[in-house]
Amino acid sequence: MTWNQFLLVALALPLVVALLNYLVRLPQIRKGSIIVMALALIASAVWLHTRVGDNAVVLSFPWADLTILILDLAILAYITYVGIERRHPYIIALAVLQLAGLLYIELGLRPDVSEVPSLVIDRLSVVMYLVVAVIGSIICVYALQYMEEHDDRAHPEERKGRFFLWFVLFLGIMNGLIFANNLFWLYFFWEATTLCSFQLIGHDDTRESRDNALLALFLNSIGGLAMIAAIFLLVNTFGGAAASLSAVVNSGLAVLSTSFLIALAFLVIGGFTKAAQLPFQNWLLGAMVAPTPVSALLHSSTMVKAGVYLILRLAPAYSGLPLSTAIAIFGGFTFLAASLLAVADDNAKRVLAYSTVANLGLIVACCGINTSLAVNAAVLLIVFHAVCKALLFMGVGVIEHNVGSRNIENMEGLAARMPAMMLVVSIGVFGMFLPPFGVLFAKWAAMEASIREPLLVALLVAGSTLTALFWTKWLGRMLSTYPREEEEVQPVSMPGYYVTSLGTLALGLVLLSLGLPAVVNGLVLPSTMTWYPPAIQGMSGLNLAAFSWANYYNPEIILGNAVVPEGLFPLGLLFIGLLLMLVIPMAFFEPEKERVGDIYLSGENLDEGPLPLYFAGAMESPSKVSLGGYYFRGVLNDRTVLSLNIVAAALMVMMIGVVAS
Amino acid sequence: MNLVHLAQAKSPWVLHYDASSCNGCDIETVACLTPLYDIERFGAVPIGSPKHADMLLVTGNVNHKSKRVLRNIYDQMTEPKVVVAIGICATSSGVFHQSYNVLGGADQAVPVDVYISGCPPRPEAIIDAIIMGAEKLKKKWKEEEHPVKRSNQGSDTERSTADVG
Amino acid sequence: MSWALVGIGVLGAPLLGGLLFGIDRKITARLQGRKGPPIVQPFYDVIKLLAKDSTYTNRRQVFYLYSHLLWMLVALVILLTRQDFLVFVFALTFSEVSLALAGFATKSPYSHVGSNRELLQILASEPVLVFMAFALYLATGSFLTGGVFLIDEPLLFSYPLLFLAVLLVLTILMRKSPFDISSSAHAHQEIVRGISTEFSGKYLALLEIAHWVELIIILIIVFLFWVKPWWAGVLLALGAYFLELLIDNTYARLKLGTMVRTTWAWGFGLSLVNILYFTL
Ligand code: SF4
Repeated sequence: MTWNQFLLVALALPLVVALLNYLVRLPQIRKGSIIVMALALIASAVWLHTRVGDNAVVLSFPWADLTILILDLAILAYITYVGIERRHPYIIALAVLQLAGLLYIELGLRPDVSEVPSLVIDRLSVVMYLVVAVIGSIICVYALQYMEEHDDRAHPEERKGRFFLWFVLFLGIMNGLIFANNLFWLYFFWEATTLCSFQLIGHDDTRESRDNALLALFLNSIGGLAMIAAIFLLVNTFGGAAASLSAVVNSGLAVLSTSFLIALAFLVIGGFTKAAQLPFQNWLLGAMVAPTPVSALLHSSTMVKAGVYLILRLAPAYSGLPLSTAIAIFGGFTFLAASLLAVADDNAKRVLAYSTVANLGLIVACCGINTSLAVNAAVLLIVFHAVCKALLFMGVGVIEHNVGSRNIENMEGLAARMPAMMLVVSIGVFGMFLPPFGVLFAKWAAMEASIREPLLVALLVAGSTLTALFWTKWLGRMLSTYPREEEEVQPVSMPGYYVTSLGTLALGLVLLSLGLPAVVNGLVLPSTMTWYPPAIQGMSGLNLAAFSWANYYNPEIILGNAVVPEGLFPLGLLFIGLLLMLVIPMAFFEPEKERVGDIYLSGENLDEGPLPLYFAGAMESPSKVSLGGYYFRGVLNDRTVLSLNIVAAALMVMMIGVVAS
Repeated sequence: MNLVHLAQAKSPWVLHYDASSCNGCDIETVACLTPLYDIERFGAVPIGSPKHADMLLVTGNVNHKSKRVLRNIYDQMTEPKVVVAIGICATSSGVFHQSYNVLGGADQAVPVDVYISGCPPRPEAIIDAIIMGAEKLKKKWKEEEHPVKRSNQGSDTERSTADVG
Repeated sequence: MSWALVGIGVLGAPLLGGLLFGIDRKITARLQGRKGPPIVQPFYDVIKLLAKDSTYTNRRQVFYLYSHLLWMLVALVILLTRQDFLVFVFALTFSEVSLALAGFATKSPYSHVGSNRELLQILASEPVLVFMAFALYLATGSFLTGGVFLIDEPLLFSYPLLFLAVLLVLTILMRKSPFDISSSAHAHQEIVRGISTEFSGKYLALLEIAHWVELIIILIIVFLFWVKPWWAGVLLALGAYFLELLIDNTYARLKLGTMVRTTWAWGFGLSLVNILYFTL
């Protein structure tokens, strides 16, 4: 396979499949073409992984520059049209400003970008591509079944055609975004993801979904404008050769030039909007009205990662500057604020969205800390968070179709009714905070790296505690069943598409965590090796303590006469713990020798029906046992959201202030 | 085996249920916890959940309403378990005998192992009954090891010989 | 430390913890002017519970109860092998989370109340422990617990405020008044039996044993504040233990909100001030 062939698979194949599904609306063709595409993408990801070494692959397509520009203008024109049609003055203003900016850069400044490579593929792109191609493909398979159940109105085939057009198209665009190096190309792919997201959020065509799609368009346009501003500053000051991501990252100009620094800050703010950091989080929450595959693919595992991917990629450029500290504090604040808001929400998809925002905040904070350990933690978080969240969203989607609600309270007792989904969601949730799993390892690394910024420490400590609270609360609701409920209810059966996609992802999560040393050594460390010396050392063999990290350039590490690593993650020990956790109950628990006890209701239990649901209430009347979770609405309400947003906005203003001074 | 017997005799966790007492017996039962009588020196502690309890202390008559509750609590306790009827009401319903709303003593609802008479019995008598009950716990556990047909009442029950007030 | 010693530690910790609980009950009784149970009373209780029949309400309840004890032991092993303190905090937190999930697994109002409260206890106590991990790093240059054995000055001297914060959350971890919110040792101030209402027989025994291990873990945490010479740390730990007993006996239980507010205002605040002071 040559590079051109690879790009055909990565970029053109999704485009072709998308158009095919839009034009030919046959279920067989849809299923066939999407499954073939999924397999091809996964194969291409593996191929890419083996092909890209430590040196980046540089690909230039100057002939396509004009096409990209025209497409850019087309997208902006379309956004302006949407703004006019929906009477949204801000969207019109933002789109027109972007149009004017782009035209001015192209016609007024006439930058010479012929020397700028269009695409650069390095190890970091490979990690992102693996995430997008593999998880994206799995979600596509899941979507095949999900949309079957979702669209039951008139013209279902037509609507499905439209859905898969944008859905599959998005995959190709995302791949382009990952590889883009020319800032004009990056900007094009960036706007195209905004467009896809807009179309998919509005897919259900209800009032709510249309409004939320518009909100997403509006907030993401702010990010687009920030990018145009950044490109303008760069091109204006340094000429066309500066419109290159790799040049920006490696130039080291940030200490010398203020306009470069401001451009950098604008690019980072662009990343903030896409990553739905506070105060931009509302579009992501609103996006939860979209069908679940959209939430799983765009709004948790891939598209929002584009924002943090950009910030991460730029990290070497602002390393060591006050801007870096400001980004760290900002990310840390988002982590805390989003975790806090997740505690108060009872809508499962919104809780997941808040948790996504929080984790993206953690990644941003890692980029801001900007040490080797922190940046590696950020890459790890991108990978593992994508897997966990995709799994969780897909699980919640299935639950929603069966329960008919997204409310966590309505999921009570799901453990008995849908044991398979309980298992899936448990794996996903435990993946987020049970010791041996990848996210916790990344969080461990992130927290230990945060020691450089004492203020950040406080934010992360508070945020991570809240994380455990809302996950456990949710799991607790799902676990809560009556005695003997399992024997009384029929478990719901799962269609094959769900079993395949959810099973693959759940298994993948466990295997990835088991193979953490391989992931770290094979994917994560190489991806940042160009800029950062490897900080994490994976110990070889079956060692109980699999990871240690040390800032070996710091002589203080040697205390007395003993050499102690700065941190140590005992992966082996924790896995033994996990294994015993599964084995011991099985070995010691003999259900046939024990009795299933009733629940204690002060002795007032009544025998009515098969399940012990009732107790004798006032005047001996049968009253049903009903329980609910804690949501702290008294403390956490709209006022909290508002004040958190204000603080976040203030932080961002301060960040720009730091840069400008 | 001996260790288990020792432990069972030394750690009777008691659950107190008031089936419809005049509170006289309840006050005396609670008095057992006070520093003067200190029932905890025998390992007995009052416990809130029937699932933890070894011993059910019943005070007062069993009536139509409390019968179901008493039965439910008794069922939720796990083996081995004993029931102690405290006071003449719980033993035979005393002066309320044959009253229209009273069913009788605790044994109308659950099998009683130890009876203490008195109206109310003194704390010493209650402590004596609890220790007697703890001894019965051991026996019951043995029975479970070698299951024999168990008679819940009659010769198997014991009466406290302590001074009744 | 060799693995044989760790094995001895894992087996010995529950025994020592149980004994300390016995002493606790004896001292509490004496403070109240009672004779009190024999010192080995906790062992009588657990042996009796193990011999008792058990009921369960569903498999998940059993699963999470075992998980509670297991992760408590994992946390202990991490401490004993002087490994990363932050990982230790994660393991301990997961152990507590497992307990909460075991309570949630039954649709019982009382265990649910207990579990919800348990979650808030985690919320209240975890931050201070994480801060302690950072304090360890700042003092020794390593997150490894082993680091404190390599520095000459006791941790207590540089982190007196953090020590106060740790004392504050010890009340929560040891389930002592005024913060024994999720499950009290004393029946008189509990809604039925809190989180353990639905556990019986050997499952309750598991919970008791986990408490014993937890107690040892807590004492080790205090010990870390003064490891050289070792007896000073032991005295410090025992002193803290006795102090908690005194507080337990002189305070009634406070409200849930008070607990979270106090620990977040004082525990969080004191730790942060101390760490900022140390870094500046
Ligand atoms: S025995 Fe006497 S003191 Fe006890 S409940 Fe009956 S009447 Fe009251």
